[in-house]
Amino acid sequence: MIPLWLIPLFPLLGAIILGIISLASSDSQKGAPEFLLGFIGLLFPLLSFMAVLSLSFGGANTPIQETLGTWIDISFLQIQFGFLFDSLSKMMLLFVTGIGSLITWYSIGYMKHDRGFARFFAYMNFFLFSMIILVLADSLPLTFLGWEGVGLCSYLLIGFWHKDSQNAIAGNKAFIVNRVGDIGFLIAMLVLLSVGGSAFLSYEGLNAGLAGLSQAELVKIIPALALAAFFFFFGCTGKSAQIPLLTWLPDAMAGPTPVSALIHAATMVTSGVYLLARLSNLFVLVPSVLSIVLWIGLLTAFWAAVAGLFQNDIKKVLAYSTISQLGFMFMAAGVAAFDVAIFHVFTHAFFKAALFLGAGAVIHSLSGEQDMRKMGGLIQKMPITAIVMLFGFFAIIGFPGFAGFWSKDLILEKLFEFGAMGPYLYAFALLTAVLTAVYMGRLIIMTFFGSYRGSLEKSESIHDPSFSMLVPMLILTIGSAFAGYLWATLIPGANWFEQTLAPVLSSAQNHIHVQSVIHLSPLVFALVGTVAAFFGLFLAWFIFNRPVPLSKDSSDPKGFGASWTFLWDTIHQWTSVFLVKMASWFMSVVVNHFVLFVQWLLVGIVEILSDGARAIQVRKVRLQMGLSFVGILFVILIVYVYGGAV
Amino acid sequence: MLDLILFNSIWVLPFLTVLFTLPIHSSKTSTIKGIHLVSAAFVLAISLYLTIKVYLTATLTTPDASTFSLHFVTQHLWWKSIGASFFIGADALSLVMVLLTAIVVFTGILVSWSMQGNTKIFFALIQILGASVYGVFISFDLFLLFVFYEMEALCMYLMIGGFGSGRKDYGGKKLSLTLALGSSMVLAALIGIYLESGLNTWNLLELGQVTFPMSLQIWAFPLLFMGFAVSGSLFPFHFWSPDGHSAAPTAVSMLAAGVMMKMGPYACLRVAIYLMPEAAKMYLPYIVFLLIFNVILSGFIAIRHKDLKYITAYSSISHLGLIFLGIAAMTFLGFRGAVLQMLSHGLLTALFFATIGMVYSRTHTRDITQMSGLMKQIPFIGVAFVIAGFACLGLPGLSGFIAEASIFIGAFQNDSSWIRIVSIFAILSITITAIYVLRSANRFLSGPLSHPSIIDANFKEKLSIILLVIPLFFLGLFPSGISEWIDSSLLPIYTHLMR
Repeated sequence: MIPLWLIPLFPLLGAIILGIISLASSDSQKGAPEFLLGFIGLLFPLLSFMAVLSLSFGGANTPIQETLGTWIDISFLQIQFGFLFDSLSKMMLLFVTGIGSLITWYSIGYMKHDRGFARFFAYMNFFLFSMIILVLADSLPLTFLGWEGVGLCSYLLIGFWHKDSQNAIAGNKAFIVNRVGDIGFLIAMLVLLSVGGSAFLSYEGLNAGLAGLSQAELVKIIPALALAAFFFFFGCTGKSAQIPLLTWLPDAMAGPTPVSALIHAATMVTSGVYLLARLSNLFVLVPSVLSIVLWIGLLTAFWAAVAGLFQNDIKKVLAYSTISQLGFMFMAAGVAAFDVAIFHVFTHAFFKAALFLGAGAVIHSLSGEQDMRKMGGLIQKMPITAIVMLFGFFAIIGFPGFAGFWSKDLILEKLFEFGAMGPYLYAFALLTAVLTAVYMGRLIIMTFFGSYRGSLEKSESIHDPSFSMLVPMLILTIGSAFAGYLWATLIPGANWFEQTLAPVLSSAQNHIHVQSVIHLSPLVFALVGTVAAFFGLFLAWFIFNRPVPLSKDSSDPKGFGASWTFLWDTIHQWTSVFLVKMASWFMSVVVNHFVLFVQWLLVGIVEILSDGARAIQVRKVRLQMGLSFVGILFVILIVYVYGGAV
Repeated sequence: MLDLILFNSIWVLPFLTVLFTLPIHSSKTSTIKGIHLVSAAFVLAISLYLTIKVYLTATLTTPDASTFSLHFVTQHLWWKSIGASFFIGADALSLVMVLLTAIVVFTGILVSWSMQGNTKIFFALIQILGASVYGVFISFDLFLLFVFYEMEALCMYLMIGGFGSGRKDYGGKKLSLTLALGSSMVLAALIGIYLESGLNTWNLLELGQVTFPMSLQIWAFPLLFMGFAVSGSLFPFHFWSPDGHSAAPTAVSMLAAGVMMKMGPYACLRVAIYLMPEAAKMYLPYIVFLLIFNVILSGFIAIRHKDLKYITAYSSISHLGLIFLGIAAMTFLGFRGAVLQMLSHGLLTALFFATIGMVYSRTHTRDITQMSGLMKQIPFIGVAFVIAGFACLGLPGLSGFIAEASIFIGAFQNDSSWIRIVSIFAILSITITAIYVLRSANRFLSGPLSHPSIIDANFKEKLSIILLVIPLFFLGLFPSGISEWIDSSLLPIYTHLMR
């Protein structure tokens, strides 16, 4: 049996070794050999993937818990440094470490000849470490450690090319917006703590505590639990880029493309969904919060899909599509179908990573061009990349048989079955699915079809990427084609995914019984979904298969400022940035000057008094003598009146 | 016996060093600096040794809740007619604060290695300043404590006035006058306590056994608490610190923000709350309305400033507010969080000022709009600044998170809804902190390079950075051992408060 702590230890070691190399070689001109660094950078994620594999398929199927020691031990608050390896964390770890290794492999080719090669891989390893901690933790505070760790890595990697200060600003934005969400996480933990003590902070204790409550006790603490659940979800909107905290993700595309693939598509942004699933027993107790989750998911998915239609930067389109797909996951969680949400996280990781790596290959061969208006016709020059992206594309729009088809259909089905409101929810989500096909179709058409519209000198170097980049792409392609068969509703017996997750999630999911109004066979959903995908595809072909107007503005990748962010950046500008600026102006100009004024006033009074005293002491000799005379008379008078008996 | 000698040498050694370097001609700067460095290293080693030693023995015994369990007690009657004695000793809280001071003094001497001006006087003053801070943390006689407390303010004035930069005269005067105002309040309250007790003693442990009448507490507690809180820059007495810190030379900024500002909350806990718990229970809930100004106001002001030292100074005021929140929460966890925040903030703010000093000595500016892209040229210093920043904004794994989480949880345990509301506002400050820390780091570390010819930290600077960074991580990753141990000093205060 492999001890659990080995899984996070490997990437941590990698991060430390590479970090030391990076710092040590910062003075030298050339830096350490890239081959060696790449080998180290890939070795440790792979080792941890191996460990996860052997734990998942080698051992018994019971949850493993492991406590390393006490992290925080403060009489009322005892937090163990412990890990929990159950089927939920198993599924997450499998693709986090697996896809993490693949993308690290890809990065070796992508980051070639970059001056910060060692630093990049140190960050990547540290990211994997934090992500593993997030997933493997057995208590909320430890999850928060990972939660902040991935946020830190995201910040560092978005601003990786910090010579352009716009990139660093994008990193700041990501971190600060996430910080706003973190307040929610912290307050939620405080509320749980004040409800149930530190036992409620560990997942096991929370589940046991909630299950052990009697009905009367439950009613009493339901408001507090709802508050906690709401604030947890607020934290999730930050990390998973949902309304209202979604603006940072499009800007986060300023980072290198493998980072966008790993952190801002496949793993980190899905940690909000993971947290909801982890806390499913809490969330099902408060249906009101779940309906907020549902509506936020629906709105975000739609909103981001519309915004995705208007982007010209290939990575921004993918960023909005990530936000939209995350919305789908939250929809599923909102109808208490947590296993479906995790399943979509799983399939999404494959096809979105494939899409991003494909886009990365395109950008790489066009030496940094990200504007789709300057692409076109690339299918002839880089056919393998085109196939990879097409597979990802089919998966995301729900083309029958591909990964996204199965998971998205399940989500739509669960929505439909959600009580009387279900069919309307279903229709709304279906509309979003059609939009998905439209904006993704636009991306594929503008990039790979038509004729090449970019500059000539760039066109000569267009080619499929090197072997080391291609292999991870192809593996992900296979994943985006076949990952869905782990839970294919139409095929009897193909529900391994559901069965695996059942021990963790079924108790929560059985808690909510909403009778569906109309019963339909899964085949109907599959058919409607297919029709929607084809309809969207047709729309995209119809609208976008024509000459593209040339770009007027500069097409250089901007650190921040997507071409159209669909209002949310403006809303943030007015509701928060402006307010913070106003507040800081008020504090530093008005309040601080008031304090200074008071200080000036006090000093003034003291000076006047001392001046007065000095004036009497030094200059007015006659007055002094007069006063002394008066004083003596006064003393004599007192002695005379009281007869010296005072 | 050896330990007793070692313990006393913590405060004697700095004075001896000063005496020893007096006859050396001031042109032999490297000799003088070497002697001071060795002496500071000795003090650091001694305090580390004693801390570890007491820590190891302390885990075997259960802490005494009735009074402070002192080690290395040295007591001599000093001024018989008023009953003042020379009474020093150390418990867990004293030892960790002394260790913190020793680290900051040692690194402060390291980073001022290439200072300009009269080396002999500068380093002598640093030593005396350090000795007076040690004195505050180890004296358990109120008269002695007051003497050390005053000595420290005087040294601070001399250092800023003599070796500062910018508006040094103004900053130095403002600092020392405000501190003097606080001292006079403290002295008045102490005399009241001395007369009221009727024991003819200033001994903190003996006075702690007396229950003072409410007629005294009602006026003495606010004077004592606010008087000490002046050096903790509690609103409305916070205005001295930005001007003072920015005018001070690097080592003094490190000492002032890192250690001296912690003397305020330390003495509030140790003296004011311990001696007058009844009044504390009455007044402390209202303190939250002052400290929220610290936390929020200074955070917002820091966003607008462009001078790195001003940003750090306002950030310090904001975080000192959190320490007072932990105290005002009147829960055990809050006290513990306050002490952890003292340690954590002492280290990280010293690291901040150290790196700022290093940047300033290279670029001759502290204005973040005048610098950019320095990360490429000075990665070691840049990374250190970023680590300090992340510790400051409470990233888990670094010390700030543990301290602030304890404070917030401690504040939430208090049933008063006012304190809960204030603590929610205080939680918002972690985002404000993130804004100004990241913004300033971004401005001067990224973008096109503005100073192409500067070079990264030399060995001494690297050593001082590493010395400050290690405890930040240590406290963040393994907080339980040390915070459990500190409990033994907090328990008497807490039981007093709850009696």
